[in-house]
Amino acid sequence: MSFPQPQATPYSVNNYGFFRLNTPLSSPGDIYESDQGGHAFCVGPNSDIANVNMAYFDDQVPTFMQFMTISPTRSFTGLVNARNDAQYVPAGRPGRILFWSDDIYDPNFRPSAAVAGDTIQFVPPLLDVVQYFTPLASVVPPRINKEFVFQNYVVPGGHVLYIVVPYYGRRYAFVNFTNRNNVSPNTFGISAVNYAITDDSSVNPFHQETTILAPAVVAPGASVRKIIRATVDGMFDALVFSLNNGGPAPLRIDVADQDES
Amino acid sequence: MTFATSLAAAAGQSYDNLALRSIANQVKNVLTVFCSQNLPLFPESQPDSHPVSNWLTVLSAIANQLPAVNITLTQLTQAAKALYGLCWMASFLQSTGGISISQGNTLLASYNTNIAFP
Repeated sequence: MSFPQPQATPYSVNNYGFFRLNTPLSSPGDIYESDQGGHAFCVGPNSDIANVNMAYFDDQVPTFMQFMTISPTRSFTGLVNARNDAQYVPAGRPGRILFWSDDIYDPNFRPSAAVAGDTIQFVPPLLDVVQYFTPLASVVPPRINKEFVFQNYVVPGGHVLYIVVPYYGRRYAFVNFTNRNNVSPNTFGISAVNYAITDDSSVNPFHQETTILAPAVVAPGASVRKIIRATVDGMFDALVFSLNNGGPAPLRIDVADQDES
Repeated sequence: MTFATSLAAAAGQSYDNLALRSIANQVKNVLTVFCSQNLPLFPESQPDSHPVSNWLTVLSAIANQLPAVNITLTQLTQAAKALYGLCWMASFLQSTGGISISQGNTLLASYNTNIAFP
């Protein structure tokens, strides 16, 4: 999905009961608006983004703009009016509800181990937010356990392909990699990153990288399995997988908000 | 820092630039001027530019509530994240036609004048 974004109004006036904003981030600065008030707000089931900021009209704030963050661990129930009739101060723009990711995303990130000629592919994070138009006693917001599956790759000769998968707020991952190329070995590794606001063209960008599984040769027919736990390894914005052969080499990644042990 | 050559670079330099401005107690002032200069560029009547004007609305509200001196680290982070989002959004919309090249370039020039810390 790209801008202009879908509008909440048709869903509200046609009594759909809810408006769902479900879109991959087209940029780290994506911000979405709703001209409709709502009775409940939660992170949607497919969201990769864990923390979603909301701005809404509040008469008792000097700027009339109040902020709130919803997440898989905290939705919000209660009437929030859009107040199109009033204006935020000092901008003088009409009241509306705004949504954007509180989690940082940086498509210009490159692993510190990457060299010229290496390539990188991002799975763009999905932003999924649900706005309800009818009163609800509560909203149960946990996200689905997500599965990412890859198999064949375009890897420049003699170089490394990095695959970046969103992992915001996740506490568990199961990774299974098998080299099905009958001839060539494949050097496979896993690292993780917490993004920073940084100048990626500088010599030393500020992103925080953690090695989860150091790159090692996986022989033809061999497999690697790795379980990543928040209590053991930490929490990260994204997982970064590296390999140096086009495959076939099935890579399956299951991520969950709860530790599955 | 140096002047940003693109809106994406401006986004990446947001925190550094505001951190330097905070040492000089200038964050509230520079953000207020930056927002007031640029809001008229993205009128309410231009729906495709709403993502940029929405960011400017958020950033101006944040700036309005900042103290003139001695902003906290939490306030600095909140302002930097909003500026980061604004610059990235403008970069994306400029490249996809949501805003004009001229609008994006004017925003970048205003960033370099008010926020970049050469």
